[in-house]
Amino acid sequence: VEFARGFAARIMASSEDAYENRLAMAFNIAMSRAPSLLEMERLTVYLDKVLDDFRQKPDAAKALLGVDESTENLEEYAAWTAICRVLLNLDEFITRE
Amino acid sequence: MQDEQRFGPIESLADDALNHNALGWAQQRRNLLKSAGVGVGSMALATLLGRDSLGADEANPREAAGTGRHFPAKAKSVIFLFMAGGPSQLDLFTEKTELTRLHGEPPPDSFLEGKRFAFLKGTETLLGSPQKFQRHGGCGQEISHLLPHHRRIVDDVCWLHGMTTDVFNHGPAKIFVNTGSPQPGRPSMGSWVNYGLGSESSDLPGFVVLQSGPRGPRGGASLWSSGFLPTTYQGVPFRSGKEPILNLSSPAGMDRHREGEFVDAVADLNELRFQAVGDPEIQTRIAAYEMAYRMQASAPQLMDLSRESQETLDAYGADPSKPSFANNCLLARRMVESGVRFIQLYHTNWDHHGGPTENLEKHLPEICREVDQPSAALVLDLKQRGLLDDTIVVWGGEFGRTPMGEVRQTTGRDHHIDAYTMWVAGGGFRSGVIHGKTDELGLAPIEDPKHVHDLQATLLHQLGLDHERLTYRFQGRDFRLTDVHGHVLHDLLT
Repeated sequence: VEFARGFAARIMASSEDAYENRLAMAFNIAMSRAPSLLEMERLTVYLDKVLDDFRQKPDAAKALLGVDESTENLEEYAAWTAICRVLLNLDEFITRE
Repeated sequence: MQDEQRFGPIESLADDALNHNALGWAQQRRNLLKSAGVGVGSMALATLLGRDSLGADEANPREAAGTGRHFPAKAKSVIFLFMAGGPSQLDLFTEKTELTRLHGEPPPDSFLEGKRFAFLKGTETLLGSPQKFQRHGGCGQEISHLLPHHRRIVDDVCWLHGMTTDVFNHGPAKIFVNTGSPQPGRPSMGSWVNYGLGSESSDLPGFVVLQSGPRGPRGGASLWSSGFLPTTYQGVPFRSGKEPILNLSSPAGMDRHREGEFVDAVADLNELRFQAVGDPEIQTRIAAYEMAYRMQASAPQLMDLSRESQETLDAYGADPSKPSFANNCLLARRMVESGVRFIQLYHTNWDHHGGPTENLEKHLPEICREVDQPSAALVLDLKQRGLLDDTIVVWGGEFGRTPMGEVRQTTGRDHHIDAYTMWVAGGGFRSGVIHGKTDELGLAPIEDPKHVHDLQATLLHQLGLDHERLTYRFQGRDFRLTDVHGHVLHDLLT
């Protein structure tokens, strides 16, 4: 989770602000390749879901980020942390073929 | 219900802002499914897609996989109580009056010829056992006073005297018992069994390892490795205490539902990668994540001994507040009830060479106290619950100990691979039978000798597997648990 938080912070600090571009960038950093269309779609679905989820339950977002206070973009940061956690747990990331 | 909610992503996709894209994605996944045939992967994908497609009634097709039985089975599961280090058969299970009489004499030359030992140099003398023995039960099995609880199970057990193995050092010998080969890299028996039969439990692994004692067993994780079999068959070590499985808990903020979404996303993306590159180990990883998710719910419940009655805890000598072999025996019974196929308990340390920390005077009685009552209680508990008929309990180490003593200030015995004792209970093994006999000094078997490969063949046989037909092709040839050896010990079976 700490890695995912750091990874997410890096993504959020980038100049890219469109979700699509950020997703592609995160994927590229993790796998050294561009995501396929299907992969993009699946990640987008997950991102929308967690964004929605954390916006409704900011306490869960705080818990995931390990913070007590609300900060700007907290929910978004948590959602990107969740995305990064998925990327870091994929077989392609873990296994070197 | 939890799973119903998790495995219904398609409906929620339809409501999504990405409506047409999402449906297109689903459509394409269905096409992938078609093109992938009916492999286990596509079955799992079908499960993920909902219950309207292939494998709709198969709750967990991946776990149910297996090559299938070769003939009807007598047993469903195995509990292997591994006495790591090599217990002394001469101080526990067989009284050798001749050895006591010749105490201090050198062993006969004929015996030493051509023999090698791990530590003995050839000058050591015979060591009579100071333990007192008595015959018990209808079968008259000799039990030393170090194992008072074993008296209660003498007639429930099949006694295997004159066991032999090939290798005399701990690591290789343990790997040998588990994999049929002294070198690491072959699949362990528990992996073979699950490869052959599949797991009966959807919420727990089919092969679980529990450990107790001052240190882990020599040989480490290669003892429960799946070798060249798919890694989904490897043994999963459970720890004692609140967190039985390392790294299983979810991060803060990730509740059950949120974690389900996470596991689904990881599974789908892994599945896409699998479709692209076809590496079967990706399937193992998908299975591992889904199993981990289910174990987050099932494992704490399984490991919670406070649900057991005080009477049961007392019978085993189990104390939920501190880890022990007794707790693990009780857990093993609970796992059998939950459908775990192969459960292995390692208890260290039986390696009594003599010396300050490993001697026959102090440490043998100690470890006997730790092991005696729970081992007996497990057999009796399984029997009482009607589980012993289709559960095999195996008790023994990687080898036994020599009739010659080792004296390192205190006394001990070296590793002996030619004639040692194990016992097996339940699962269609005859009970109250004494099989095999060793000579008057305990140097070699004189009746019904049996080899580790024979025991392996027999265990597989009782599970419905032919050890000569349970094979896996790797690097150009078919491998078996018993290599090219092993005979089923029909004498031992009902």
